[in-house]
Amino acid sequence: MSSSTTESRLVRRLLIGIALAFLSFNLLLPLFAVFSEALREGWQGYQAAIIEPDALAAIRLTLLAAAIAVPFNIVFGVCAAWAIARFEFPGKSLLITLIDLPFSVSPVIAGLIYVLLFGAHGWFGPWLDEHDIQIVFAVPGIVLATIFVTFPFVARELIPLMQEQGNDEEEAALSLGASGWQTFWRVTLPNIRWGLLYGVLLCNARAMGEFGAVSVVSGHIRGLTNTMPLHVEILYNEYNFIAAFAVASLLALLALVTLVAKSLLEWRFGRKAVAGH
Amino acid sequence: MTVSVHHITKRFGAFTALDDVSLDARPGEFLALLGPSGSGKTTLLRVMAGLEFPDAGAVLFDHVDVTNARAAERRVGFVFQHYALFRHMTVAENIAFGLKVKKPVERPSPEAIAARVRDLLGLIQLEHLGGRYPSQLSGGQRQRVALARALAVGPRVLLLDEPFGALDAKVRKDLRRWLRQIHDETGVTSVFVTHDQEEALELADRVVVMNHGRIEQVGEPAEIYDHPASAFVADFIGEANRLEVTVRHGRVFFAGVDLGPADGHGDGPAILYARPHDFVITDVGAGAIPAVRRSHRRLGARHRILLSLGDSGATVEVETLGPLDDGDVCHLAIQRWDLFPA
Repeated sequence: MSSSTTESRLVRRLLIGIALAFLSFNLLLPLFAVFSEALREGWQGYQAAIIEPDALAAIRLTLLAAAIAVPFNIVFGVCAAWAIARFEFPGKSLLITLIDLPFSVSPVIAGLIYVLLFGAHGWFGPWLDEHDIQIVFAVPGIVLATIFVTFPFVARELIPLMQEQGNDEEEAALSLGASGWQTFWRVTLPNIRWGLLYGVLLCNARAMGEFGAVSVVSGHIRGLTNTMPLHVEILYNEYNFIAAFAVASLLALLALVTLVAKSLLEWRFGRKAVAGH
Repeated sequence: MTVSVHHITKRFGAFTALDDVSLDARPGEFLALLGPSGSGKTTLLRVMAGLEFPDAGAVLFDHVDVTNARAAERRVGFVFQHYALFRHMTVAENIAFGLKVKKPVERPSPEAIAARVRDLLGLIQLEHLGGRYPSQLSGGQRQRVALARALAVGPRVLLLDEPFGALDAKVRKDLRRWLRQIHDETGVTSVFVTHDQEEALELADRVVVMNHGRIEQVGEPAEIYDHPASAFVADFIGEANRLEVTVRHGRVFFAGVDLGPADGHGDGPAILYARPHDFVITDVGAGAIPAVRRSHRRLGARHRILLSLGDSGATVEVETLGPLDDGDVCHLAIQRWDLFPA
């Protein structure tokens, strides 16, 4: 008995040690590097890199893309989760698979799809050109690509939650005379709000951090079609390390805020409220 | 209020849940829908509530067609098996829900809603628990809250889907007497679904026995028990011994023994059902079946004795029959039975 506990303690420490070392090396060290590089020439260099017009334009575009993609995902996610959790219909499993598609497809391919569809030589290219509508290498393309890569987040969060909760409460509300809208706002939404918030957090983090898909459709026009991750890349390629890391640190901060908010949600409402993991 | 369903058919894919079902619940009646799982009883209740819509047939409330009216328009109180309380609302908020979602012109004042909630909390004897959340209540308490919530809107009919199904035996017994009392006080027409025949026979004014999406029999509990209309009812309600018999020249024969007149049954094979208390020990003579006592078991206060009949291979369970030991030989007579075509 004693020998087995000694051994398990040793094994336990070893495993924890390996995990911590790995995490430190792969996550904490880079995170530290980002901030230390960004602040190498002090606060002023950091500030200058961020309030520079191209950087501000990139931040604005990133916020815009997220501000469009996230609400879209909330609506789509709730609709899809509702349909999947509440109804039986042909093609249901296909829909579930399709929702997961952005997870399994390389983001570069996701970007390329839009170039193939809406680019100058794409399917709708000539028509768009005639009507003077620019999608690829412009803001609409970036928004579309962002929506594509983020659309599983909210739906995947809600589907297991809504399946587990069933629709008894909604039926009860309907039988008590509530309308469809009243049932949604007073019963469905309060029941899924924490799962929804959790999905929105993840969706937002991804929307702001997406590189691959956005990179393909962006065209990298400074001050116009550069998002923050793309701006970081350009600065870095120009050996402007301080500015690159300053902007990167903002993305890192976003990640940290998301993590803290996620932990708070989990702590406050327990595992049950953010079920599905 | 009278709740009528006329020739209701409801299918789920290839499965026919209700097959041409017609039924009336009379004003103020307490009606039980009884049947095994898959018999269509819950579907019938949900069709009455407007939570399910029939493929054919009509639903009438006081002779007004409500077949296509949604649940919200029918003013029914529905009590779910698993309570379906709103988990993010307190008990008082749950009860008030149906009043709060009314259109502004019909909605009572906040004071009137609060008063109604207080009354209902009193009715369900949970005055002090109005501020609790459903997760902080026991199963029996939750079901009482669910009932209060359904009663709050003044429903025209109360529909209960296995209201005691998720509760343990003791709570169930208390709660069903209490429910009957509430029904008698409010006088609202009530229909409840159960698979527990004891519950149906104790509680209901009339019992509807269902099987395979059809109604087998509708009647008062005593009528259902004493005069089953079909072999299924005889078998499903209470304990019954099933014997394969033959009708010849208007008389019932079992293993060569003439049991008595067949009351108009045609000649040929038939199925006889007899309750454990319908058997008596008798002397050798007309209608006496030779039997051997095999074993004995106790069900609380009741006793059951298992006997094999002659050399037919059939066995019957009967109530205590005086001083017999396992292996003893005797003769049995059947005092009353129900006969159905084989």
